[in-house]
Amino acid sequence: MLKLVNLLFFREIKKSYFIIILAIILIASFVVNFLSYNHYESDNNLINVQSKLNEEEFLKLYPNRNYNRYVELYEDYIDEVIKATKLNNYEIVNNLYSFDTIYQFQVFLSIISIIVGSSLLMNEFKCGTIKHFLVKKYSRFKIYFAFFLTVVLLVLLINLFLFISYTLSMICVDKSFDLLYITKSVVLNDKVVDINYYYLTFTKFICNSLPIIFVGILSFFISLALFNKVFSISFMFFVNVFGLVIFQWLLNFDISFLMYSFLPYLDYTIFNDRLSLVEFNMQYGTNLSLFNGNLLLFVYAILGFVISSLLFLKKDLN
Amino acid sequence: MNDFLEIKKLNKNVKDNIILKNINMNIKKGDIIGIIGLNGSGKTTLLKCILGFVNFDGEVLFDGKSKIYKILPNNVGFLIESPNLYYNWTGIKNLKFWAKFYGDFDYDYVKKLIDMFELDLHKKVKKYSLGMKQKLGIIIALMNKPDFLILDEPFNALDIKSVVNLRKLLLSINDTTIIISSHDIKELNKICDKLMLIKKGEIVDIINNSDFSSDLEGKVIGSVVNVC
Repeated sequence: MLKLVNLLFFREIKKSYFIIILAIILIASFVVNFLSYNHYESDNNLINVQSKLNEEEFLKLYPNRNYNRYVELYEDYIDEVIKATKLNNYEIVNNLYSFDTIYQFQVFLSIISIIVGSSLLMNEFKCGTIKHFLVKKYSRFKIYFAFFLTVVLLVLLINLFLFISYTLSMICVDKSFDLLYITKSVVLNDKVVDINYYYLTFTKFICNSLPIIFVGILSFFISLALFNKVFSISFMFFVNVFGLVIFQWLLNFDISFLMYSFLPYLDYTIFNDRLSLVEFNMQYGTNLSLFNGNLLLFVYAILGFVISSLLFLKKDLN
Repeated sequence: MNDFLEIKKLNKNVKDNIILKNINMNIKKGDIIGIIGLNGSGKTTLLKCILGFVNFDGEVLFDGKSKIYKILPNNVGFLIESPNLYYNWTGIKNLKFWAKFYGDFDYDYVKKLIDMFELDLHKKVKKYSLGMKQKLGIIIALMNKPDFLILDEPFNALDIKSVVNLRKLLLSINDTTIIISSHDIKELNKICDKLMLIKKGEIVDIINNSDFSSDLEGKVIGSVVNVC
């Protein structure tokens, strides 16, 4: 089966569309870094602390929600505000070259991921070439799994290529390697520590890649369920762009089980800033967290894999 | 010794429509079988069932064993309905991709096939005529000297020269079990050891080569259409 994955993977990366995607990422990295060369970030922004609502005010605003839960979440929020202001108390100023522009590529990567995920297997059905794979002594499950792995590898490659091209462009624009060694002060376990800012960005970037990979494999599953590439791409675009907005809107109707859907986890940028996350949780009464996100995406991926593989196994190839 | 291919009580329904009904057949290694029937009689579906492309009730046994993907002989070639090709690729790229699936590969043999069909492999498949696509489909089916070959309407869109060449080629291959579905009774008469007549999803008659007569066409029409 690895031979099949190998053949499919290298076949795809040699295709002109894939080379164009990589070229766009490379050029865009240089353009973004060049334009944002003088863009610095500072953590010492004034934190606008939200005041605590009393029960009457709260129930007037959110009649269906639990006030006690709000109080708990408000305490978490205040804890986070204290942590965030700790840097100010230590009089440490993070005035650094900003790497955050890399997250501007998230939407682009998700779109590519959706297209790759929806197209790979559907193109084989469209051309009828899937039949050739079936007579090559691979079981249907192995064929399905090989295509699935190829989608994952392709999306991973695009993500990795973005990070490498972003780093290269950063070095070229700065004309030195200094940016790789700058440190940033952060609060860890109530202590202010200096950590490598480039490493921190890298770990956050890897984390942000997870929903992009998930979106790719979800598109792969949905294309097989709908058996139509165009419907799958359209549906996934809609879910990806409006997923969080729909989620926030539905929370107004106290549909709390939505917290266990994948909708709020299609974009991990919310986890880049802990203070924004707890503020969001307090505002909407949710318990979004990185751990829950990873767990839910994993569970949904397994569920989608099982359902779509069964569909593939039962599918008549006419 | 088991037959090369044994089909037992094969039934195929799509919703309430019966496509194939109680198909039983045995094919020995090296046999060339022709399948004849009217449009929609179930010929192509039968071929798809044999290759495991569609689900069905019953058994398809290769050398007495089921699980088609495990037992199917190493080299299987097929051309079912329209040739299954990557249309944005050139002919040579299509050939090279499928060649990668085979360990030892006889390039000289493929070159011989390409020369025989006089096919320009450097054009994109989407610019090919119907006949050229058919020729490329046949070359892909035959490229690895298959042990088992299934051809559905192989003579469609081929020029006279290519039809003769294909006939000679099929007759020259030894030890390959071949099933051909076609409406061209004259060609099947020249190639096949047996003719299987199929009507409304059922095998209505099997004619051995020794029984082929000058009035084969009339006999076949009589069986599948019931006009004689």
